[in-house]
Amino acid sequence: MKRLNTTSAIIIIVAAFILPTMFSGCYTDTIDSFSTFTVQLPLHFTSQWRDKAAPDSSLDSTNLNNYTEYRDNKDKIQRTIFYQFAYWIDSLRVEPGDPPIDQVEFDTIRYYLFFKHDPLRIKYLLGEFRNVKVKDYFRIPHVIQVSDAVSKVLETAAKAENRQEFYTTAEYSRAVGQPVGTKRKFPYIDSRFDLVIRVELKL
Amino acid sequence: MTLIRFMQGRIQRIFLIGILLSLGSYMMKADENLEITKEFNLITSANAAGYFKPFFTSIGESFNSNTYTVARFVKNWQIGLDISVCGMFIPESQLTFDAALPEQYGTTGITQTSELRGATETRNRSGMVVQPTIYGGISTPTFSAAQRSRGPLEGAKDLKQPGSVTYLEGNNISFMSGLPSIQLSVGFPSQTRLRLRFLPIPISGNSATYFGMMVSQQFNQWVGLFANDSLAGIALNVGYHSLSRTKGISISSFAVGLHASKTWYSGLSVYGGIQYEGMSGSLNFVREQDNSTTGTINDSPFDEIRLQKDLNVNVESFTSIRIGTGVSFKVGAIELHADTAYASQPVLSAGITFWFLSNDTLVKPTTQVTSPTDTTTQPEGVKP
Repeated sequence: MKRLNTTSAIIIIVAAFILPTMFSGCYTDTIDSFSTFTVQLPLHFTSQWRDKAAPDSSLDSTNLNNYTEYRDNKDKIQRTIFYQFAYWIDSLRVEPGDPPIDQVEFDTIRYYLFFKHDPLRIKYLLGEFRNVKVKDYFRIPHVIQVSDAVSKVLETAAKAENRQEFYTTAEYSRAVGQPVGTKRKFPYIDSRFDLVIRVELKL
Repeated sequence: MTLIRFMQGRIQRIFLIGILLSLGSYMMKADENLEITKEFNLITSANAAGYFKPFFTSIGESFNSNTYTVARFVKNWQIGLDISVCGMFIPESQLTFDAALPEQYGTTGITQTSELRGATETRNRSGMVVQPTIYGGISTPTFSAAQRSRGPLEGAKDLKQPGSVTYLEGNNISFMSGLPSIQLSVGFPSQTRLRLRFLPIPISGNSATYFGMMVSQQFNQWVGLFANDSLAGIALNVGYHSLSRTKGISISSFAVGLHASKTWYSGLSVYGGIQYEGMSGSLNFVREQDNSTTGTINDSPFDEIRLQKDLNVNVESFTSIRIGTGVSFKVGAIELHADTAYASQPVLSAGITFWFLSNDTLVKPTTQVTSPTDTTTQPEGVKP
């Protein structure tokens, strides 16, 4: 009986210390899991070319401070991750005598991003659309996911001071069938570029 | 006593954190009304219900965990304090939910949409789309290209163009710690066990209250089961839990079940049971107002978000049936218990009960040999 009581006492004491420690670890993990939260913000860029020639590039900028969800939580932001973007053409007009819209095709449209206050003005390639037939992109979004490698580089770059303002630039190649070394003029090209960033907030 | 105080203090603190988490305090500012802050404003009531449903399930399972151990109750008064914890494994099926898309999506005359998952791009999906719950991973945005260049859209107040939408992301959680419980356990001479939980939680001067009551009644002696084994028992258990606040929170949960146990003279018991349980209620938030004329809220194709209507979230649980088994070990005034249960989120739980008043000393019966062929045993039982 004495031996049983001793064994029982040891079990009770060990369990009384181990259980709280073990479960306290679980609670710590749970609380850690909820210590950050990630929201996705869609950023909109509307590009309006007038009397532009291809190949050429457009330039659009945005300032994350214009987004209240971002601005109001700036001090809580742990990470800014560039995630996915979509491109589509809202409107396009061709010069009289040029091939009609449904035959217009660009070899590539490349999207780059650079930060306004980056002294080196490094351009980061977000992604490129190939064989862009205007009829397939006419008010139909095409989505590209920013590669992990670029995303990581941008994430690091975005941590630097004054990196809330950045530009996106679209580089249009020449149109298919357009002779090399020539420029084809478009009276206007309206396009949209929606970029979704993932913002990790410390709660 | 020092150990008890240490544990009580530690677990009460965790309990408070757990409760606050359970209320979604990370996404609200406490006031008379609960307010959802801007960064979480991009969710509708219907999608919030699906997004948080696994989380509500964890809370409901926490409420209904550690509500019974052995089913054998002595015909004496007993008073004890039980401190218990639990944790839930999150199944893969609860990492995602079907989120509602804006109603204009899928109507290609109004908008064309695309979403990219892996290498697959899907266009013009309507109705529902799979997105992560709070326990899941990264969500997938849906990009939307309006088909009308200018002007307001018919039937959608103030919406000029149905824009792209994003969804809340999950936190990649596979194991969720439940709410710790500190409960008073009272045994009645009627072989009834009552467990009570009560905790006021102040939230900026307007307190939320958690209250739980669980009753177990041993009944096998009334129907002649285990008549010769006073160390075995079967009991019916019912429970009710309420979490409420004057404004914003109204959640209740119930459970009803049967459990049985067998105890040995060493103080070891095994027990098991089946329980039907459920949870219902609502969380109501006002949205933090965003007065900007542009931006994601202003351009949202969801009327509820764009017009900044209140967020009213239905509280439901995936769990209805729970089957569990466990062990309990009692020495003197201390009882340790641990169990596991199969439910929509499988549960592990454990706790310790300090019996301040308990007359439940197990006495091994002596054996008398009355003849070479006839061995009888004195009735087993409890020393009076």
